[in-house]
Amino acid sequence: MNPKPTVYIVDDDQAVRDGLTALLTVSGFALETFDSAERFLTAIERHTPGCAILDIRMPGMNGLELQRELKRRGIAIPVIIITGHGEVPLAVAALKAGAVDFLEKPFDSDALLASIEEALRRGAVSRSSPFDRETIASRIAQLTPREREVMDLVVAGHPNKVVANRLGIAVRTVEIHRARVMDKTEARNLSELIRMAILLEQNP
Amino acid sequence: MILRWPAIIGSYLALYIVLDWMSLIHPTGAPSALGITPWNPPAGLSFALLLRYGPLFMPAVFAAVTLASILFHGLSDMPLAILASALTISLVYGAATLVLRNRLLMSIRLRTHRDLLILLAVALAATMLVAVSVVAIFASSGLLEWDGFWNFAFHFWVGDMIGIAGFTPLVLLMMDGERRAAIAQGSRPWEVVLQFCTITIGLWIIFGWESTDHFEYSYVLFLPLIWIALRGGLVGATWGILATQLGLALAIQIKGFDADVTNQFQLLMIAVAVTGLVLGSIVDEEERAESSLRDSEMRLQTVVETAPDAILTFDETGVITAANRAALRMFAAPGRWPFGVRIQTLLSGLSPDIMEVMPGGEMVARRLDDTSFAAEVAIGAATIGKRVLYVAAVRDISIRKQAEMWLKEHEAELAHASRLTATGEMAASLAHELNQPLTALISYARACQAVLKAGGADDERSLAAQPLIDQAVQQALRAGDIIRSTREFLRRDDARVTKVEIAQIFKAVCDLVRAEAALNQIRIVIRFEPEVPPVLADAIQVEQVILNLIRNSMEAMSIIPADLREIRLSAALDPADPSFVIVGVKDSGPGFPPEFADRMFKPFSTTKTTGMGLGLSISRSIIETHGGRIWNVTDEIECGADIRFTLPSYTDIKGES
Repeated sequence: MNPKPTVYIVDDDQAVRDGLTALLTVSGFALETFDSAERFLTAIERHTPGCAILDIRMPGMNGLELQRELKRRGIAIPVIIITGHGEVPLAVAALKAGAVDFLEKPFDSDALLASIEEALRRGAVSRSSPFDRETIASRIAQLTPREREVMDLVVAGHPNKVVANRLGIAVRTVEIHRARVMDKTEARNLSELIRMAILLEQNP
Repeated sequence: MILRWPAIIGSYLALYIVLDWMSLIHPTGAPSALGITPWNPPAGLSFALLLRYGPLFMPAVFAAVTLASILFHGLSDMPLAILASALTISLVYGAATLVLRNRLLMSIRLRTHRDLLILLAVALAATMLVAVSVVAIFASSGLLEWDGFWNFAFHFWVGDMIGIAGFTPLVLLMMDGERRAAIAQGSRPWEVVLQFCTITIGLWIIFGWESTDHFEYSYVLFLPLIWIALRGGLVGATWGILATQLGLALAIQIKGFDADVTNQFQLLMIAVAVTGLVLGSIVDEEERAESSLRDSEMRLQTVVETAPDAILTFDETGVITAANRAALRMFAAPGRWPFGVRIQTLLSGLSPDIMEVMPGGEMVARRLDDTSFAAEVAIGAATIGKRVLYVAAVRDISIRKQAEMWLKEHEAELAHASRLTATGEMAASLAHELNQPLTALISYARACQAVLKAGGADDERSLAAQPLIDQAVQQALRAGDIIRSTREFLRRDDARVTKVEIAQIFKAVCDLVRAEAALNQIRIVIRFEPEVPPVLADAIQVEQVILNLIRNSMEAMSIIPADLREIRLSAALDPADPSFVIVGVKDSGPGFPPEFADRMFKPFSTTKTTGMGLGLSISRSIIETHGGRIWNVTDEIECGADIRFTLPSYTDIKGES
């Protein structure tokens, strides 16, 4: 059997590191934690298969920069981004850069575990999306023009207030549209919706 | 220049000889032979030239007197008497002119009647001294009897005095180029002819009638001269005196009066001459005062007319009496100021009944076409006799007001924006700080569940604990939702991202901090590379960032000497990534303490004793929202804070889309 895949956790918050360590250890993962991107970069040279959970906001190099740096160094490790700053533009950037998932703190363990499974399954080489392009296209085709507009703006990283402002409708209406969009696309969360949008944007 | 002196001295000698010869036309007995004449214009000529050229001219006078004595006075065989008298005359008159010029500061242009009066007074003393001295020399040389000493001296004095009174002013004025020009311009030939006719008539009245003793009507001589002096001033008077004197000499010649009578007429002539001269000079002075008043009035008029402020005069009731061009323009008056408009109509801020002097105040001014503008108004008053003349100066300050208003609005907008961002930043920071323990909490709880499950799925207590832990996780997630929605609500999300020129942002910021910078004696230098493209940003938010940094710098620099305080704003294309513009705010202050440098952009971190420590954190949020980044440059050589941030350039964004 291959060496056991390792989950690398890079977060500057001690409590988060400890909590995740407890959860993932009992869940049966081998893991290593780092309190900064720099430390992680020196350690990862060994290149063990697995996945990396990166916090975005850290002193020194941040999670997105780290993600870019890994790519630059040719370390093709699947990345899950977690952040206490649920900034949608950051999520879009992370996902566009190839992150497996984007989780907003606090998140339930199901979501994290699912992402880790997914990341490990994809492995270092597989880049295939869990979604089928055709399926997504057909789902999105069901959206009304207004819903499509709402989706585009939400995916571009705009909060509901801005979307409402741009479209000249009430925030409550945006929320309704948004819920319908999630419904019709069968996206479980914003991260999935963004990934679907990214997939559609890409040339077949 | 070298030729000038011989020419002047030569002309002087020639003129002196001619005049001396002329004064001898009418010999009046023995004294005449000695040069004691009833009229001695050569003395006047010498006095004038001594005044004009100073003591250097004394040898020339000495030579002239000596020459004349030899030529006309038959004194060639008495060299000692000639030399002594010539020396006396040149020395005394030389000294007298020296006193006049250097001690009494007489103007040889005879500008004031004081000049004329001191000239006559000093001449009086000098001629007396000369008369007594010269007659004494002649007497001691045996040329005159000592018996008639005072008589001779008196005759001598009268001749020299009238010579100076009648001739010196004339010569001085004729040597004054400006005066000559004035005469040429202002001469009225017919009046002059008439005036000389009157002199002739006067002389005829005095001397024409055989029956009179000729002194009876002598006052008549004053009349033409007064007329001439009043009309022609000092110049006219001098010519009038010359004419009168010539006429008088001619009359005396025709009548063949003896020396005593002649002398008495000459005494009268002195009085006439002094009267004419003083009157003429006073007339001149008045004329000058009047013309300078006219001049200053003209100047004032020009000043008022060219003033950019509206200047209006009005009476006690407020009715406008005059207005300058600027006033016509400012109040949109037609070509002429309409009659009867009251100042209260234009400036409603003035009290309607009582006119009050006001050094300056702002009020709304109304134009004649009923539009209005912001004005700065000053009211002054001048009392002329019993009437009061009021003056209003009105300045149109609407442009300044507009600029002030813009600044005020802009400041308010910024303050509002920074309040919003501060709240947003606090919410975001709080959310972040709380989300960490919540994440840990959920992880621990889920781990706990897993541990319990592993311990035995059939354990009753473990089974009972499972839903409880689920509940705990649900509550933690709910806390996360609450935090998220609160932050969402407080987030400033009306960012108006547009194409903005950095130069424009710098200008706005400088306008806002100008007063503050001046107060703290801080120079703000802008360094701007010409090829910096516009950026895609919310101008207000970027201004907020720069203002934040500038205010930090200002505070930090309060501890260094004022002449070293400087803030440099710069903008340049990012050399690493040309799709970004780097903006820098650098100061000459003490910089950041090293231990602070790591956490300076984190919320709630500050080096100040007061403050939330959100400024740099907000700046980071704003810049990151724009897609840029912000960092602190640490430089070992140069001290001071050097914060830089990037903003996406507009051209690049456009190219991408």
